Amino acid sequence: MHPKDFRSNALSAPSTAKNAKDPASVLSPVVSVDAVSMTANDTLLLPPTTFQSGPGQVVALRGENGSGKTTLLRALAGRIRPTTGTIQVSCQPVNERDPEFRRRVAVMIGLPPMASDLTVFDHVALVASTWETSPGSVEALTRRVLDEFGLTELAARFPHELSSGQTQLFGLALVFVRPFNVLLLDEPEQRLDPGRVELLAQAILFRRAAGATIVAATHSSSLADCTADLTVTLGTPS
Amino acid sequence: MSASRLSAALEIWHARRERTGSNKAYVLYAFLLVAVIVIVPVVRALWVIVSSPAGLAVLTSANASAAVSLIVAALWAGAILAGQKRGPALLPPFLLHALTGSSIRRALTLRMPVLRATAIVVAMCAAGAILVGMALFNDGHAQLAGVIVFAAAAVATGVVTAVLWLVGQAFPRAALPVSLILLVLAGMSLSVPEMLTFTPWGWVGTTYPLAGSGVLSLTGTAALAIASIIVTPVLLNRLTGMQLSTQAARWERATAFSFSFDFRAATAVYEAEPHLGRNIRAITPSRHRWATFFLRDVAGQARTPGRSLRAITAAAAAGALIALSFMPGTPSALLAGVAGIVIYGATGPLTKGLQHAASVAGDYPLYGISDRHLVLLHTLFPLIALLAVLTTSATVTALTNGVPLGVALTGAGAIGILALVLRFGSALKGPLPPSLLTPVNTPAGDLSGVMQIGWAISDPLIAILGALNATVLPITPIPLMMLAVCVGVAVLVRWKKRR
Repeated sequence: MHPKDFRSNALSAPSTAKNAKDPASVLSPVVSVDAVSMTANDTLLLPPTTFQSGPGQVVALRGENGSGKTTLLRALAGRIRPTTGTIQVSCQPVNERDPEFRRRVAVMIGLPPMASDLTVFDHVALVASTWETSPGSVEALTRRVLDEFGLTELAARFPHELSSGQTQLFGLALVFVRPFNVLLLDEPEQRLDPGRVELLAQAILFRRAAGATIVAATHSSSLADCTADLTVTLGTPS
Repeated sequence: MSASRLSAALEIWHARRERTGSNKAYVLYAFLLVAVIVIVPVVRALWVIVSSPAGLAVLTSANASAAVSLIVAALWAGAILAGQKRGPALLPPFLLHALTGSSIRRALTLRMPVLRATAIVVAMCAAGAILVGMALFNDGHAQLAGVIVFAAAAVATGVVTAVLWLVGQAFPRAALPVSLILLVLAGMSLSVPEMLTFTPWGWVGTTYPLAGSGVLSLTGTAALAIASIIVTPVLLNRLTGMQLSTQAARWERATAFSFSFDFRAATAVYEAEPHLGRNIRAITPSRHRWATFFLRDVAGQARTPGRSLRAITAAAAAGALIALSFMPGTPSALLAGVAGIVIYGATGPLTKGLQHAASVAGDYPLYGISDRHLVLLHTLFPLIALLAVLTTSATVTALTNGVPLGVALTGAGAIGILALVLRFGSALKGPLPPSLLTPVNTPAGDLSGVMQIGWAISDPLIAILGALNATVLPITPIPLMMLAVCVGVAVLVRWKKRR
C-alpha cells in the first residue's frame, strides 16, 4: 500500500495516493478516525476505516456510491454514532451538542436551509453577521465570499431564481462564510461545471493555506487531485 | 372527429388503471364508510347548529339577506382569486400535455374537468341554501316556495362561481384587481343598500326566503348563469399551454404532499415567491442582534406585500371575532372556532423567519449563535406584529360592541401566542412518524388513516380548541392554561428531537 494512502480496511484492491504529505508528519491530528465502522440492521454501511489529518490538510474521501462516504461524514459531524471505533476532533470526542464543537466544525451535507424571502447577499451577510462583530467586516467578508464563488452578479437574486448549479455555489458560500477549523463537505462539486469546480478548489486551497482541516467526499478526480493531501478510498460494504 | 380522438386518448389513459370488480366494490365500501362516519355527522352537526335557537336568531335577523349578498360576493371574489392559482380546467400533467399539445380544441379537451368542478360547486351551494332554507321552513319562518327559489338561485350562483373560477384561470393577472373591485363594491353596497338591487350578488340576497318574493331576482341570476355557460368555451380556448402545465404541475406536487400528510409543504407549493424589494437592505449588522433579526424579518414581509397584507387582515379579523365571541347573544363557539383557524392561517406568513430558524436548528450549524438564541431572535417580529394587530382589533371591537376590554384583550393575546407556538412546533414536526402507519383494526375497518390525518391537522385543530377555551376565560382560565401546558410540552419534545 502506498504509505500516503489511508484506505478502508475492508478494501483489498490497491489504490493510488495523490500529492499526500507523509501521515507520520501528522503529529497533532485535528481529525482522528480510528477503526470506525457503521452497521445498521446487520447491514454494513461503513467498513472499518482509519485515518488522521492535521491542520492545513485536505482529505479526499473516494469510493463508489454506497461505500459509506456520507455515513463517515455524518459520524464526523456527530449526527450518528459509529458502531465501532473512535472519532476525535482536536483531541476531543465528537459532541455535536457542544457549542465549541459546533463553532470549530462546519458541515455541508446537502444544501443548508434557505429562506425564500432573503436574497443571496442577505443570506451570506446574515450568517456572517452572527460570527463577525463589526458591520464593516460583515460587508467585506460577504462580498469576498460571493466573489470567491462567482456569485457577485447573482447577489440580488432570491433562492428560487437560481439554477441548480448556482444554488450549489450559494450553499457553499453560506458554509464558507463562517469560520471553522474543520470543514466537512459531501460531494461539493455536485451540479458544478468544470469552471465552477475550479472556483471551489481555489476556495478549499485558500482555507487549507489558512490552516483548516478539510474532509471532502468527492467523485471528482480533478477536485481530489487538485486539493487533497490524503486520499481515503472506501470500499463498497458487502 | 375531435371528439372521437379525445375519447380514444381518454380510453388509453383510463385503461392504465383498469379497476376490477373487487376494486370498484372497495371504492364503494370506502365511500359509504366516509359518508357514514364523516359526512352524515357533519351534516347533522350543521343542521343542529342552524336549527338551534341561536342559529335561527342569526338566520332570521334583519341583516340576513344582506349577509347572503356579501357571502356571495366574497365567494365570487375568492373563486376568481383561486383560479389564478388552480383553475377548474385541469388534468393530470401528462394527459394535459398530450391533449393540449394536439389539435383538439381546448373547449373540448377541458370540458370534463370543468363540468366536474362545476357540479361540485353547484352541489355545495345548493346544499348550503337547502340547509338554511329548510331550517327556516321547519321553524315556520319561510314558505316552501321561497326555499325552492332560494335553492334555485344557489344553483345559478354555483354555476356563476365555477365560471368565475375559470375566469381567474384564464386572466391570472386581472384576478387580484377584479376581486378587490368586487369586494369593494360589495362593501359599498352594505352602506348603500339601494346598490344591492343593481348587483348580481344583491339579486341572490333578495331570493333569501325571508326577503319576500325573489322570482325576479332569480330570473336575473339565472340569466347570468346562462350567459356564463355560453362564454365558457371561449374562456377554455383562451387558456395557454404554459398556464395549464404550470398549474397542473403545482397541483400534482401539492396533492402528492397532501397524500403524505405534509400539508405545510403542500401549501408552500402555492405560496407566492418574492420578486419585489430585492434591493431593500434586509441585513443591517448591529451590536444589537435583536435589531438585525427584527429588521431582517420586516424586510422579508416587505418583499411579499400581498401575503403580508392578507396575514395582517386575517389577524385583525381574528382579533375582532374573538372579541365578539365574548358578547352575550352571539354564537360564541362558532365565532371563536373561526377566529382560531383564521389566526392559525395568519401566523403562517408572519412567522417565515421563525420557521426558517426551526429548519436551521434541525440542520448542521451555520450561524454563530445557538439554535435557541436564533429562534428567540426570530420570534420577536411575529410576536410584536401579532400582538399589535390582535389587541388593536380586539380593543376597537370591544369598545364599539360593549365587550369587557380586559377579557377581549386577554383572549386575543392568548390565541395569538398559542398560534405562534403552534406554527413553530409545526415547523419542527418533520415527516409522518412510521409508527402511525401501523394498521388500527376496528369493526369499521382500518382507522390508521384517521390517526394520520389527526397528526397532520393537529396544529390547526389545537388553534381552534385554544380559541374555544379562550371564550370561557371570564369563567375560568384553567382549560386554556392546561392546553398551553400540553402544547408547550409537545413543542419542547419536538425541539429535543429536532435532529
